[in-house]
Amino acid sequence: MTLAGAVPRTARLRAELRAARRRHREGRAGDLYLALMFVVVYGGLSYRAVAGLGRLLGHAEPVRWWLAGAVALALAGLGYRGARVFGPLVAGPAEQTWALSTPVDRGRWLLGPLLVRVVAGALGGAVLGIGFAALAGAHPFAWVAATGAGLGAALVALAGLLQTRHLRRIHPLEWVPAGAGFAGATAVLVVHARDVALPVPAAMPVPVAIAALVLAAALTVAAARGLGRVDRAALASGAQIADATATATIFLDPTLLFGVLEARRWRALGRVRRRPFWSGWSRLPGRRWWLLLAAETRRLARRPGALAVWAALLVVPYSVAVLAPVFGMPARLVAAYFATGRLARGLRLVHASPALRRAIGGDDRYLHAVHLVVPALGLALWWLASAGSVPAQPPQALLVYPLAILFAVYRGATGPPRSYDGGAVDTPFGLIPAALLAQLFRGVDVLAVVVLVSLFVR
Amino acid sequence: MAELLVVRNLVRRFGDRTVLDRLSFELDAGEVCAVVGPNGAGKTTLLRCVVGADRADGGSIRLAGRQLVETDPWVRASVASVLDDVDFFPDLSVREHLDLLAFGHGTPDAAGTVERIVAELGLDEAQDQLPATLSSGQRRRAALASCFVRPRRLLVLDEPEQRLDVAGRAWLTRTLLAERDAGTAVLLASHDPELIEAVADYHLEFGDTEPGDADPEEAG
Repeated sequence: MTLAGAVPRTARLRAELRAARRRHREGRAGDLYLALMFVVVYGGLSYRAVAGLGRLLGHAEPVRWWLAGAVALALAGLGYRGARVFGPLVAGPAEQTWALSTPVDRGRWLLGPLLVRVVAGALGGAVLGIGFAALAGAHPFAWVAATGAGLGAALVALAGLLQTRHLRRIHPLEWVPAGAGFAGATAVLVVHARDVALPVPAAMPVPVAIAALVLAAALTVAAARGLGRVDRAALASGAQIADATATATIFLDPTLLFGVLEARRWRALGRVRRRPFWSGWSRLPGRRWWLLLAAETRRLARRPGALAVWAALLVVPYSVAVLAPVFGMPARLVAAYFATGRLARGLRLVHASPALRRAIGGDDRYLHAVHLVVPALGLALWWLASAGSVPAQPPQALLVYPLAILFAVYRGATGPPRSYDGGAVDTPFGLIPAALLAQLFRGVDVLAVVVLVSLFVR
Repeated sequence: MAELLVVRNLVRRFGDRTVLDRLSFELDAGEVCAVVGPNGAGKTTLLRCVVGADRADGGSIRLAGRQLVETDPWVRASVASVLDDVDFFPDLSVREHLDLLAFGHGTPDAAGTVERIVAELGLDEAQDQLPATLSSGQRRRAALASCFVRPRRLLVLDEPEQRLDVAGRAWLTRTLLAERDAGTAVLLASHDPELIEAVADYHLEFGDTEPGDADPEEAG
């Protein structure tokens, strides 16, 4: 048994770690320069695009103000949910093993990362505020942005505070911001459809912005005070997702992240109730077809989140029809693609696994056809429900567009396995293998063509 | 000898599956307990709960009479562990990892201790290498070294014999016996009957499980 000596101060250990890591790193300044350039160039372009769109849309109507506000709230709520999934504080296995296992002050070690995340939340909130101001004509501009920054920081700080309290399960109340945003957007759309006049919003009161900033500061202080209670289990829970996100970003393959999220979801569920498939199937002609379809619907019922997203995406075309009517049909097509994609998990699974196909039996076309039924039915329902978002339906919207979307989803779900070799092309995001680009845009390419057609053929 | 680790009615569930069901045991200072059982029996989950990498749903774990809470600096100074989640900073050499850990724990004569452990584990040649250049066996040795360059009262090891060659396993056996003699309590999960036979004072048997009941934390 070895006895401990004097434990160093947190800042000293962090300095040692940084100094050691710097010794083997080159081009750090270049990395920072690139990151800064990325923020400046793409941030500037995004701002110009949003501001240009605001000018294109002309004078802001009250309905746009309320709708854009609700959408901004929904996005902020989803961002908060993302922060909770990540932690927001995470520590990878290396940090856990070599730094966090030491008895240095845990609270001081985590203070810097917490503040970085709160600032990132403030920046995200400010971006949402700026988008809201540009789209809805909310003013004064600076105070709207400040309110967004305050609320963004407050949500991240709240997520940090809950992490210090070891609340790893998401409480239903935590869906309130996103839920209120979606419900608000739906309510605004319903009211607007009934030609009910909405009140003209006043200028953003300065006290609201100040209150948001004060709330953010108070929550940050509360979270910082509890950092000493954040244990290894809490820090590790988001590390796998952070790692998967980084890998998915580097390899431009979101399925790497979805796989980890899906595994976590099933692990949390643990066990499901065993139910025999209805014996009546066996008496129907083509019984295997019906059984596979029953299994597919049963899997879907175990993923209620997919159905919720499928339904929630209906808000998109109706919102765009109000915010930017000229993009009503393209928005409907894009949302239809993503909504249908949520129902195509079975198709993706069966296509991606030769072993699964061998086990099930039957040729690939047969298996693809069975697993395309649910997406097709889902798309048909969704398309009908979204019909009201585009008042003047062109003839091709009846059959050609939905069939094209179904084909796009099918194409996206049945691509070849990812390949990272072959020739590379230079893109604004760096060198990317050409074959990988082709695989990534599989399905999206068809969608892009349909969207272009919808813009020019009315 | 005094009870160092006391586990009472430990429960860990994943969804509605109970992996650890009111598990109780004690471990004295200078005693080695081997956790044995088939894959998926819950061995890794138990070790993760003991080191604070996972939170139990019920029960208590006490170390030297104190509630074992991972955020307590005294607990971190007392419990050394190598589980299946050890990883390395890609831009630090083996030696720098060990120096950092010894420094963070305030190990007396940190440089000398690291020097000795590196030599014992045959990592002299590899000590300035970055992790990406290490073999899986060398990574395992470096991970195990992390336990011995720092203070410890309780050593928690998950299948420490994995990826070690014959010499490495012999070193592991000698070292665990020396730790026992020095008064360190050792809790290890292992599938190696020779290692268990050589070092363990008693076994904690985990029962058979159905394939569907596999411990989600356990890789092997």
